[in-house]
Amino acid sequence: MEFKDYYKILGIKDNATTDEIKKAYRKLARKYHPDVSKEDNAENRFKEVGEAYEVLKDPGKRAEYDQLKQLGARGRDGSFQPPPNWQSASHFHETFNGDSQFSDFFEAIFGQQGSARRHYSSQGFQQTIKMRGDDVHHRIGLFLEEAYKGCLRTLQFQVPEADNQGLITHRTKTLNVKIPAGVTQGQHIRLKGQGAPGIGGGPNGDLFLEIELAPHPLFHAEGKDIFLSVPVTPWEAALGSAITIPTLGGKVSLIIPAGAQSGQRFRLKERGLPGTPPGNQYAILQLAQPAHHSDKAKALYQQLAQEESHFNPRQKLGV
Amino acid sequence: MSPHHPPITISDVEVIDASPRFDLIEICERCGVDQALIIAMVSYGIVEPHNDYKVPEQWLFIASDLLRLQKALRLKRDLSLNLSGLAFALDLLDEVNTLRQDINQLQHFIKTMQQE
Repeated sequence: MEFKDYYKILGIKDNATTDEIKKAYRKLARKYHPDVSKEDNAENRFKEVGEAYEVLKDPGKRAEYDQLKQLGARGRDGSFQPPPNWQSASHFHETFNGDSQFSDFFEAIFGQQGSARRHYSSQGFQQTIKMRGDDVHHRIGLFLEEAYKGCLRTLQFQVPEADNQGLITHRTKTLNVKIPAGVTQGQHIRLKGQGAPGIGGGPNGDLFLEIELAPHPLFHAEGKDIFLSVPVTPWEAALGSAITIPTLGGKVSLIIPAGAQSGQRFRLKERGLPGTPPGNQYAILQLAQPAHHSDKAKALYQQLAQEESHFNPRQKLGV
Repeated sequence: MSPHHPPITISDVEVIDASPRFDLIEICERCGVDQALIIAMVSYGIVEPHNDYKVPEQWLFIASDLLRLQKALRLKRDLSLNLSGLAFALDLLDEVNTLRQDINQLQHFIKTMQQE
């Protein structure tokens, strides 16, 4: 097993004082807290930091760890074995409400029975404690197309599980979840009873999935409504025309009335994300024109400029 | 080693809309805390009940309130925050999230502008 350098994890020297340990822990706990941090691997780092602090904050456990660090056999590949007949003196017991999951390394040092694995049902415990399992939360990222059509998602995550002796272990759970069509950004999906297992006959927690929509190159979603910026030429806007635009459900034809303005919104009823009621798609016009014009086109523009010279687009600017 | 577990297929899921559906008792049960703590958290504005504020027995919360309370309790436990600091931290986190989203959208916008 891999040797864990708790001092290195907390970024402190081997002779750090208890205050220094506490300070380092607090700083790293804030930095890597999974509810706050956007760092990669924050959850594992947070667990590691918590485990290091659990050992180093306690003078007894710290002394044992220091001793082991000196005595423990290291393989050529850096793997670590505690000395034979190693037994922890500290009868360490994780508190009941704690939710941390310590490493194999930790368990090898501080024992399996009395340490990181929690007893939920030792000696009559089961009869007295009845607790609902924790709710579990996950985010799932979806493409807008998937939200529109619905999709099948395979989720894998670690869940705590009580074995026959009431010891809590972790295993990988695989769920195939059918995401219905029409879910929106930030919406939640609840899978009843798929959270952490209940204790002592208590009900299981639920699994909550929060929908996170990936940015789309064309469309922008707000709730069930879909927004699309549609470039049109000045002449299409001036004369009116039928243009083809994409929607999540495929191409549709949009009639632009004569005299349409840049920024004008057209509603395509019920072309947004499905549901009751379905969302709409909004097409927002954006004037676009060639960067270069032919001499003939320039002449036509000059003609147009004369014809409409009375129009002042900057009237509101007071000029 | 853990034994092999076949995947569980769930085709009937519940999409939670924004209607209030969790009462105080259920919130406490799901959070594993006493009513007094939730009531105190409401008084600090960490979440707002979606109906008559004065009668806790009648409070109803939406799914995202539940998530927020559970997240708040984790932060409180792991970072030893008091309720005032907790409310403050959550407000700042909300703001950071909104700003991140805005930045993403702006970056996306800039990218499409550059391509054109």
